[in-house]
Amino acid sequence: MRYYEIRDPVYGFIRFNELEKEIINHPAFQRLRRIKQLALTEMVYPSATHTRFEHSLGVMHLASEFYDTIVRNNKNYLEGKLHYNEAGFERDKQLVRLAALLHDIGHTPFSHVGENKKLMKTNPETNKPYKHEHYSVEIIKNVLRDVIEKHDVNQNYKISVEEVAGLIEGNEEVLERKIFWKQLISGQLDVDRCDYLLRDSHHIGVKYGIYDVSRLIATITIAESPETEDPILAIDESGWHVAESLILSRYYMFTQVYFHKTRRAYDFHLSRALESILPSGKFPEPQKINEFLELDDWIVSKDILTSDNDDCRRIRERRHIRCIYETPEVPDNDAIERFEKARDVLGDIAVYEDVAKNRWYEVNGEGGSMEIFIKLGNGKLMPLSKISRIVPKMGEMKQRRLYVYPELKDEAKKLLEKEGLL
Amino acid sequence: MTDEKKAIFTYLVSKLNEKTDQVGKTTVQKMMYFLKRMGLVDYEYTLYHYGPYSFEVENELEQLESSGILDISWDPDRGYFIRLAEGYDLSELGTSVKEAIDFLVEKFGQKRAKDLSLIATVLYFYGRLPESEIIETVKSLKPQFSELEVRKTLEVVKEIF
Repeated sequence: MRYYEIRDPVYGFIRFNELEKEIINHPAFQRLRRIKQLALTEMVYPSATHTRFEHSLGVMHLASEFYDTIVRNNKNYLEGKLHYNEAGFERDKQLVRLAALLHDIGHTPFSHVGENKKLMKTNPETNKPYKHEHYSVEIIKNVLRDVIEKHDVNQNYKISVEEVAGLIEGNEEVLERKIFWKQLISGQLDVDRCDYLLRDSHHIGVKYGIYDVSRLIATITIAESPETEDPILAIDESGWHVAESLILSRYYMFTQVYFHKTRRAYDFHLSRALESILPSGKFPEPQKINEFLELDDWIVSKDILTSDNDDCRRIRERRHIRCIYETPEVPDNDAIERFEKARDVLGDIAVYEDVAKNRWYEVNGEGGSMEIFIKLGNGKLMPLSKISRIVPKMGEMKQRRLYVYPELKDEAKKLLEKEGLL
Repeated sequence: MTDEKKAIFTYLVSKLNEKTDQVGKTTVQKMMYFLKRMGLVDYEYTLYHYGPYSFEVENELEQLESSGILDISWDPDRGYFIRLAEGYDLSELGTSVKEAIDFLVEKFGQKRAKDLSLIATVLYFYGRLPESEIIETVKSLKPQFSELEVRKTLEVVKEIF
């Protein structure tokens, strides 16, 4: 089998095989070159122009590194408990790499900004808006079926697209023992977040998301849950400080980048701009996947450049809404009362109220825990929050902000000053 | 978190603690899944090898802990222990949810987390796959259980859900 290498600013080089090359070169994957990882964050951090394309390659690379360490350090356990042999290990490594490579292939233009209930149609199965994973699964199962299943490299593995999709969302019935690896794709120790913290930091030029990834790779392992006796991912005791720093990285990146007040202002404008640009104001449902795949940042940006819509114009002219009032990160009752008073005083002038709700440790925007399990020397498990003195004190962030249009900023300021709120 | 959801969590945890000496996160996760399948909560679940799991439910548990409503401790040999914080009074809960929780606790409250995980996994496929495929699928995902155990569990699921 031939292997290829590609330069990567985070890991140096990323290696991939012929099957992966064919997927990477497919137009559906190349589209990710035209979807920026962090939407309009570049309006604050000018170099935040990296894309889902390189992130997807990075996630595949990291998934492979994690997989190798887990197998190397837990071989007997996996052979005994899940009946793996060498061929099984090799096959499922390819499966995990494909799922990691393709986990974001269904992203909307401008990444997560497009993924909200205003812009996404409702999934009749869940009665909730579709998520990018639903589109990823649709692309894998329909657009990439032949590329994956008929490729020469896959003739030894016989990996089905249902299995690849299953590690991302749904289709669990085909996964058998392989469902164990789903934790690597989405979970508290998933490779997605482990990659984007490093990658976003690198491109933006901040150091907040940097943690010792080599140590993390070296110490990831398996332990048994004392509640269900099932194998779960954990960090070896000798690496618990890197687990702690991973949590800190998430927190810092959230406060300094992802929840930056100006970035959030552009999320607001972008969401409204997309609503005005998209036919019927929403993205097509996953069943219309070819229509969906025609949309990327470039196509949408063309409309942003020419539209008369107010939000499009504000994006073009960098005349975004301004944060006029905000609470501390963790407001006490007094701060909440003052915020509510400020909202009343501003009335209709306050065009946007933003609330930070736990997002810094969420998984796929669905909530989740900041808990990471540590495997002690005696094989037993301990939650990181019971070992670290810092993590238990890192509660939820509940910062709230009020925004006004820039032309009304002075008026808003005066109103707040009059009430003694500024 | 809404007051109603807070009331559901606290009532569930309180009733479970009357029935068993360990209420862990797995137990709460799976009980919430049962409530979801009864149409009483709307948390999103995804399947892992340890059964249906909801990041939203996990998040709610952490919020309840940080608000001082639930005490969550850890025993390395047995896992989580979730209890209602001392001095916390249960709030009003709608009759249908209350009755459903009472029923589920009566039925499953003394089951081990491991068994709840099996029941929830069978339930996850119940309605999604033909019955004939459920047993094979669950056995392939949870090989630690025998075919007989999975078969019996399917009967329980059919009877209740």
